[in-house]
Amino acid sequence: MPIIDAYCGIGPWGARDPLLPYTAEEYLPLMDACGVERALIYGRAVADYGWPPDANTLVVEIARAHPRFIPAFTLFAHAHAREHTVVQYLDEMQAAGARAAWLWPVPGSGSLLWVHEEIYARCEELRIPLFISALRFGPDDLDKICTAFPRLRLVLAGAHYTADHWLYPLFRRHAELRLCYGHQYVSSQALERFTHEFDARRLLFGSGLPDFSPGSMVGMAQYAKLTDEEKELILGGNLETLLAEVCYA
Amino acid sequence: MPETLLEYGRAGRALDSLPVIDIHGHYGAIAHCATLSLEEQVAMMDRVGINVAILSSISGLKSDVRAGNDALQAAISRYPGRLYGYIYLSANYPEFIEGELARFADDPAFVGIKVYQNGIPFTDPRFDPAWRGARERGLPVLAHTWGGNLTGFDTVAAQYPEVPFIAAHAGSDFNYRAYIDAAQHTPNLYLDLTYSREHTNMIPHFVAQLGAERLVWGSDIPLFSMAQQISKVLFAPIGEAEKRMILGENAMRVFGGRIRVRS
Repeated sequence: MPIIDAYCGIGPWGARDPLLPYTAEEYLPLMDACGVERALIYGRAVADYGWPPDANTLVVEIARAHPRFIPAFTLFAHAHAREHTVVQYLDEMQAAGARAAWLWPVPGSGSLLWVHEEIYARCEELRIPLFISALRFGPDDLDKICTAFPRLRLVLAGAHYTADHWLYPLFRRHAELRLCYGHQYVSSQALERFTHEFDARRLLFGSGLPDFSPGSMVGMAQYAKLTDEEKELILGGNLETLLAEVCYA
Repeated sequence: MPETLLEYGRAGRALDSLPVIDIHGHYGAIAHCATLSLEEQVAMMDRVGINVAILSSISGLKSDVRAGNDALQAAISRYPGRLYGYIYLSANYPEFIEGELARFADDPAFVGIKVYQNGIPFTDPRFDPAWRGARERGLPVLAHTWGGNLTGFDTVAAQYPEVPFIAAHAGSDFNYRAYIDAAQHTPNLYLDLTYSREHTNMIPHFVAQLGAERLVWGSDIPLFSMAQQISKVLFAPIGEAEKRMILGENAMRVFGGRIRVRS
C-alpha cells in the first residue's frame, strides 16, 4: 500500500524557521520514518510570494534527481503581457510530465473568480487536479468556483478542524471537490465521518510539509475505523487515480 | 508484532506495552465540533491504547462552572480507573473557587485543577485561592495557554515551586521559544503537547532543549483525534525512552500516586 503525500512544499523560502527542513535530502529520511513512499511537491516559496516559474523549475529538477518526488506546477494569473500566460504554464507542465497543479493567488484575490477563470477552465478541460489552500480561499470562493466549473477536480488542503459547518454543505453541493486532510483537519473521527458521508474516494492524505510533519496524518488514517481498502484510497490511491486521469491530448 | 512505538503507529495498532495517559481531555459538547459520547471517547481510548484520560468539563468552561464540575463527576464515575477529572476553577467566578475545591478535592477521581485565563491573567489575585488550594491539596494545575503567551502562568508557577504547573498547547502557532524559555526558568513548569498541528521538528526540539521529562501528552478529545495527537509522539524522531516518558511515565510522576494504570 504506497503512501503518497499529496500536500508537500519543498525548497527554501525567505521566512523559514531554522527548525524546518527544505531539501530533498532532509525529506527522504523523514518520509522513510513515516512510511511515505512518494510525495507530490510544489515550490514552498510560492506560498510567500515566490516566483512561480522558478518554483516549477525547482520541483522538476528535484523530481528528476529523486524519483520519489512527483512535480506539481504552480499556476498563476499574471496581469502583464510580458509574464507567463496560463497556456505557457500548461505547456511547460505537460513537457515536464507534471500532472497536478497548485494555485496560490495573491492573498485576498481567491474570491476573484474572473481573475482565475482561465486556470479553472483549462484544468477542468484537461482534468488536472488543482490544489488550493483554505488559507487563501474562503467557503464562498470555493462554492463559486465549483458552481462555475462543476467538473473541475479541486482539492482543498489546510481546512481547519472546525470547518465542518461549511465544509459538509459545500461537499454535498459539489461532487468533484476533494479534501486533503492535512494539516489540521483533525477533529475526532473526522476521517470516519467524512468517509461515511461522502466516500473515501474524495479524501486524500497530505502532510503540509515542510511546515507540518507527516507522522500524525499517517497515524490518524492508520488508527481510523476504516476498511483497508478505504485507507489505501485515502493514503495514496486517490491521488494516483487523479494523476492517471489527466488528459493532455 | 510491532516492536517500536513508531511501528505501532505505522500499523495503527493499539499500544499495549506502556502506560499511556492523556492528561488533556474534555467531557461535553462544543458548538464548533462534532459531538462525541463518553462511550465513543472510551472506545477510542481502547482503539489507540490509552489507559487513562484526565478530563475537564466543557460546559464548565463555556457556561456554568459548578454544574460543569458536577456533570464531569457523574461522567467519570461511569469509568472508574479509566477516566479522571480536573476541578475547573475560574477567576471569572472567584466566589466559587474555594467551594469547588472543597466539593471535589477529596474525590479520588479528581486529580488536578484546570484553569483558563478567559480575559483574566493567571497573575490576577482572583486566582490566588486556586493556587493555594493546589498547594494545600497537592494537586497539579493544567492551564490553557496559547501562542507563546503564558499569561503569567510561569510567574505563578515560580511562586508555588512545590506544585506541578502544566502549560497546555506548548508551541502553539509555532511560538515554541517562549515555552522553552519559561520552562527553562521554572523547574516545576511542564509543557503539554496538546495542539492541533504537528510543526515539523518541534517535539524533538523541546526534547533537546528541556529533556523529555518535562513534557506530557494530551489529545484535547473530543475536539481532536486521539489517533492524530498520539501519532505526533509515536512518529517523532526521538528515542523510545523519550516517547515512553512523554506518553505516560511523566504523567505518573506529576500526578503522584493519584492515577493508577491497570494493565
